[in-house]
Amino acid sequence: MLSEPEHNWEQRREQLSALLDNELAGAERAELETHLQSCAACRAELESLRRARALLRALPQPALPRSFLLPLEPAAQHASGELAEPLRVGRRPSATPAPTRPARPAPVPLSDARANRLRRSVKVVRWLSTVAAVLGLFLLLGSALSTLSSGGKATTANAPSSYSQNSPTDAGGTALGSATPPPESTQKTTTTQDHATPTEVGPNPAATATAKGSGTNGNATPGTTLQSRNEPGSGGGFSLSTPELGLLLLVVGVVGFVVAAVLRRLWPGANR
Amino acid sequence: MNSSEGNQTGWSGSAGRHQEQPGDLEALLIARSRRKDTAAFNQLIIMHQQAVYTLAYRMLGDPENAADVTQEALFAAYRAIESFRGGSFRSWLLRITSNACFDYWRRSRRRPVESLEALTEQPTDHDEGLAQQFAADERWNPENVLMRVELQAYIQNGLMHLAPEQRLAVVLSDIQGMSYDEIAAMTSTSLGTVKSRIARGRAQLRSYLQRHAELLPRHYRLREEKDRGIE
Repeated sequence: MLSEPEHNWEQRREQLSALLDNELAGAERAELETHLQSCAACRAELESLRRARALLRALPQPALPRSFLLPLEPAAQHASGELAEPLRVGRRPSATPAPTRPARPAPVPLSDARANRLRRSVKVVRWLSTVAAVLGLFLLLGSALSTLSSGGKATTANAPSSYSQNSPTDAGGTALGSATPPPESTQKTTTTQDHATPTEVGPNPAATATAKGSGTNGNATPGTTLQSRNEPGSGGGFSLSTPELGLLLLVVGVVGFVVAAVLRRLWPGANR
Repeated sequence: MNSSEGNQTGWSGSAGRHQEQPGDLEALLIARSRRKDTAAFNQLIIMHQQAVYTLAYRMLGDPENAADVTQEALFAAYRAIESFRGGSFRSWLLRITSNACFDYWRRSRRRPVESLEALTEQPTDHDEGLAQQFAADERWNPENVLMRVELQAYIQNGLMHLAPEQRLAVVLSDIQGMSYDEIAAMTSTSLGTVKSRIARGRAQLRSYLQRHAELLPRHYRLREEKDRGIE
């Protein structure tokens, strides 16, 4: 019975194997099931296939050796070069591409165009703030030096008032106070006032320019515009002195840096 | 692990048939990946990397090469995402993965099989004695089987002795839980071919396991397993 000539084992095995998987059509299946009742060889064959399948199914999933995430570079920029590189990396087992930025929870993804614009404006803000800060420092130091060399004693009538008028408008002013000697700078205001007025016309546009530059990014706008509005407002009886202008520029510069840093933290995509 | 009831469904182990549920999330992620949104594609990778790696591992039999091929397949999928035309994304990924496996063999000029007899897809002679032994041997009783590391390696070895097309069909069916239809579509073959490859693959694996049982460590030999089965 076992080696009956009509037992085409190749075909029989296929049927039995398909039966295991419920992949046998109705009539064929019914026929096979009746045959199985009378044929021990086919039952053994079925059982052996079932066991082979069971062993495969019982295999646990192999543990992932690493994460296969793709690096998050914007692919559109250098499509050919960028995609070719990780492929090469993939073949070398030693140089595994590190999953990018696992620490930071994925930030809101920026589209390429937006990221580019942001990147550019952050750069502009930083550049302008640098200019403002350097100019401010320069003015402060310059006036400090000139007061030291002239050694003039000051009549401190209106100087403190103008100083206090300015400083509360900006929180950064207090922090800067420690860096620059405040009593000296207030003294200078009176002595150099006459010379200072014409020179400050020059730097002034720069100050408003920085205010505008950083103004495009929201945060800096209120503080800086307040400051620049201060000048024409008090322009009737009082004009800004050199050290005050220097201080103001420094503040603008610092605010610009802070804004740039905040922007970069919010959208890391704008970083690159 | 229940084995005896119903020979239609056969043994139903922990690795049940995978159910395909494309889902809105996956469709959304695919749409975003088409616009070269790498973060979205990475979400898809997280969902499917285990299946991709498992297929590569079972085909190649070695974790390091499997990892390389997995990475390669996922990059290839990312590049070719526009060519995905609906259907099961998982099947599509697994197709790319199996192609990457064959590419790997071609590239490395390594033989995809360890035995010459398996190089062809020729039917093997039916060995009734062997089938009966295997069916009666307590070691292979699914109820007794403990999937120790040695046994896993032994089964993997058995897989490596199959012709690659048989191995692929068997792995897709019994490990990835795909239906014959899915496998036929994925491998661009007929239903009949899938059926025969799976049947031959299983038969071949069974023969290997029975013939080379001396490769198993001693505690897998018949006596002990029998004792444990009786207990």
